[in-house]
Amino acid sequence: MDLPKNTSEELRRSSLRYLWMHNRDWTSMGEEGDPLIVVEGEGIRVKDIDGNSWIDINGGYNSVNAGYGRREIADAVHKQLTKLPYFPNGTTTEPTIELAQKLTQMSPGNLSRVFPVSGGSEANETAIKIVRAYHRRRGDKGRYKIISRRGSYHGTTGGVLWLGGHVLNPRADYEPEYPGMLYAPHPNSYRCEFGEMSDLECAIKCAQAVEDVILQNGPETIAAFIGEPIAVPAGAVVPGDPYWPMIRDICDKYGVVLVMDEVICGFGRTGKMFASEHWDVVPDIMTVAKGITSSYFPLAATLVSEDIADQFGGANNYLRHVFTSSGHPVASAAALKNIEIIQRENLVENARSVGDYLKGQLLELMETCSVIGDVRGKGLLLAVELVSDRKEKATFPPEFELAKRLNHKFSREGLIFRVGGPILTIGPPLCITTSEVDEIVVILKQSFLEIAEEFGMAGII
Amino acid sequence: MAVTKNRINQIKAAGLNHLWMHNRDWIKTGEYGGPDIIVDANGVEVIDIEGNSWIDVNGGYSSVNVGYGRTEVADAVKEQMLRIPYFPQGTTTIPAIRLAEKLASILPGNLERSWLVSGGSEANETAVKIARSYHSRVGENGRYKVISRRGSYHGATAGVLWMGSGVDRVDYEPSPPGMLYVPQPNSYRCEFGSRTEEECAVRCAEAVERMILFHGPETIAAFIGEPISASALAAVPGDIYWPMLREICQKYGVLLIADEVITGFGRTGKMFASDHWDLVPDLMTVALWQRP
Repeated sequence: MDLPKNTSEELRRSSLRYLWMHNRDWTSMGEEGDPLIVVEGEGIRVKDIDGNSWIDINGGYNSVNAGYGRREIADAVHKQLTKLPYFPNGTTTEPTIELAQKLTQMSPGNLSRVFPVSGGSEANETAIKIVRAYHRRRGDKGRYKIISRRGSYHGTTGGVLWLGGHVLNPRADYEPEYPGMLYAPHPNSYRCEFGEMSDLECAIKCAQAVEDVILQNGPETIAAFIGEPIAVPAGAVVPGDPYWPMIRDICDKYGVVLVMDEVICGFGRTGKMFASEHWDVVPDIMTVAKGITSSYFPLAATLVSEDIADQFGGANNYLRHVFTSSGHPVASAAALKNIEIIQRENLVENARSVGDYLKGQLLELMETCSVIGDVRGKGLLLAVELVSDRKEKATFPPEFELAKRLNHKFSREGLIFRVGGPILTIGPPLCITTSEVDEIVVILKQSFLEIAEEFGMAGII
Repeated sequence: MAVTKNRINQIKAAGLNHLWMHNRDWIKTGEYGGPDIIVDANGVEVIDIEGNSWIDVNGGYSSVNVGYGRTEVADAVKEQMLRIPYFPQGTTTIPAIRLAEKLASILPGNLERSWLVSGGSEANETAVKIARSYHSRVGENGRYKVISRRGSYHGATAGVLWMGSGVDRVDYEPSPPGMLYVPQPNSYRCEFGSRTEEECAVRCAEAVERMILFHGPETIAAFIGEPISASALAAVPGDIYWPMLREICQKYGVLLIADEVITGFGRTGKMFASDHWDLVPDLMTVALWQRP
C-alpha cells in the first residue's frame, strides 16, 4: 500500500524496513508506534514530525553540550564546506591545526599532540594502538595488556568492545575475546565489590586492586590502564577522592600508561572543562568526543603527552594508523565554533551550578520517593538508581518491567528519556536552566511516585 | 587577501608541534618546510597556504568522488543543521530514513537494511559483529573466524586491523583469534605463479574452499574482500573469481562481506564494483566520507 509521501506513517514504515537503528528492534518498534522522527531542535527541546514538542533530557547521548539550534555552528560548517571540504592525502588544513592547538591549550598537563578521528570508539582504539606501539618503540616488547574496570564503557569496535563490561553490552555475541584484557573493580561505593563501606574505603580498596592485578600479571606485561573519570554505565559513578591520585601513582610506579576516557565527561559536562581536573590528575593520554562538537558533526580526538608522542617522530618512526576522516577541516571548524560557544557562555560554570541545583532537587525527591536508592554524579552528569527496597538495595523483579513502565510514563509527559533498567543517567545540554530543571523534576517525581504505587508500596517514607 | 609570512610560519609551527598527522613523521615534515597546508579547492585542483596550485590526483583518499567545490552539498548540510543537527536517543530523522531508502534502491540484489556509521573501519567492524552475532542467533555460535586476503585493507580499528595485511602488525601485537588469510587474486604477481588471469582467479578461489574445509566450515563466520583491492594496487581479479567465491560461501554457510569502501559510488565505472560480476554479497560496506 502506498502511503502519502513525507507523512509520519510513510517515513516510519520506511525506517522500520530500511534503517538499522542502533539498540532498537524494528519489530517491537513497529508495534509501539515508534520510531519517533525528530525534525527541529532548540536548546533542550526537539519537535517531532507531527509537531509535538519534547524535552531531550540527555541531549543526544549526553553529547549535545551547547544545545540544539546553534546557528553559528551551521554557519561555520557551511563556510568551511564551501571553502575547503576535505584535503589531499599527506596535507592538512588551517582549522585542523587550529583545533589541535586549542585542544592542547585547554587540556591539563602536557598533552601536547592531537590525533583527530571521528568517534569515541576510534579515539579509544587509537589510544590503545599508540600505547602498544609506544612500549615497543622504547624496547619494552612484552607490554600489551590493558586494565579496565568492570562496569565501564569505552566503545564498540573490535578492540575497545572488550574493555570495561556491562550487562547492556553483551560479549557472548562477539566471542572470542581480544587478547590481553584485564579487569579491576569499579569504585562504586553504592555497590562496592568489597562490601558495604564508605566512599573513601571503597576508593582505596579499588585502587589497590589495580596494583594487585598489575603484580599478579607482572608489570612487564601491562601496557595501560583506561578509565572514565566518572563512568556512565554503572550510573555516573564518582569515585572517592583518593582513587584517581592513587591510580596515577600506581601507573607511574609500574610504567603503565594512564588513559583517561573523557568522551562523555569532557567539555564541561561535570562542571570542569575535563573531569580529571576534579582530582588534579593528569593522564598520559586523554580521549574526547561528543561534546567537542556538541554532536553537530562527527569528531573525536586522542590527546597524547609529549613523552609518548616523541617516540613517533623522526627516522621513519611514524605510527602507521589512519582514518580517512582524521583531520577533517569541516569537523574541526564545527569544533572550534562549538568550543567558542562553550567558553563564551560559561557553560562549564552553568553545568556546575545548574548541576548542583538538579542534584539538590533529586536528593530532595529522595526524601519522599522511596524507590530512589541513590543519587550521584557531578555537574550535569548525574544518575538516579531505583530500587524496590532501599535497605536491601534490591532491584525490581524482571516481571515488573520497570524500564517499560518508565519509558511509557516519560513519553506520556513529553520527555524523551529512554531507560534500559533501574539506573537512570541524566546528562542534559549544558545550557539548561533551573526552570527547565524544575519542569523535568516534576515529571520524574510524578513517574517515580506512580512506580512506587504500582509496585504496591507507599511512596512516602 | 594574501597570507602573511608570519602567519604561515606560525601555523606551520603549531601544526608540527600539536597535530598528529597520520602516517607522517613530524620531524622530517619540519625539515622539508612542511606541513603542506591546503586552504582552497575546486574540482581536482587545490591551493596551498603559499598560494601554489596543485592537482590532487587521488581526490583525498580516492574519496572525493564528486570533486571539490560542490556548493550544493554545503547548502544541504547547512539547511539540515539549521533544522536539527543531531537526535535524541531512540529517535531518528528524515535524512537518515531517506538515505537508507536510497541505498536500498541502488544496492545490488536484496541488500536492504543499512546500519549507518561514520567511517570505513566502523562499517567493516559492524559487518563482522553482525556476521558473528547472526550465526549466534541461528544456533551456530561456533562460527567466529573471518577469512581475508593477504594484501587487502579493511580498516584501522582492532577488529578489522588484522584482516588483510596492508599495514604494520608488529606494533599492535598480539592479534586476536580467528584471523585466516588466503591469497590475493593478483595475476601480475600471482602467489601460485599462474600465467593467466583466469588461472590465478581459479587457484585463489579454490584456496578459499580449502581453507574453509581445513578449519571446518562450522567455525567460519565470514569472508571479507574488496571487489577490487586498492591496497593490493587495484588488482582486478579474473572474472571467475567472485562468482566462485559467491558459490563457495553459499555452500558452506559463510557470510560474504564485500568491502566497497573505496570502490563504491561509481569509482570503478559501475555504481558498485560488485556490479561488474553481478555479485550480490550478504553484507556490503561503503563509506560515506565519499562526499566533498
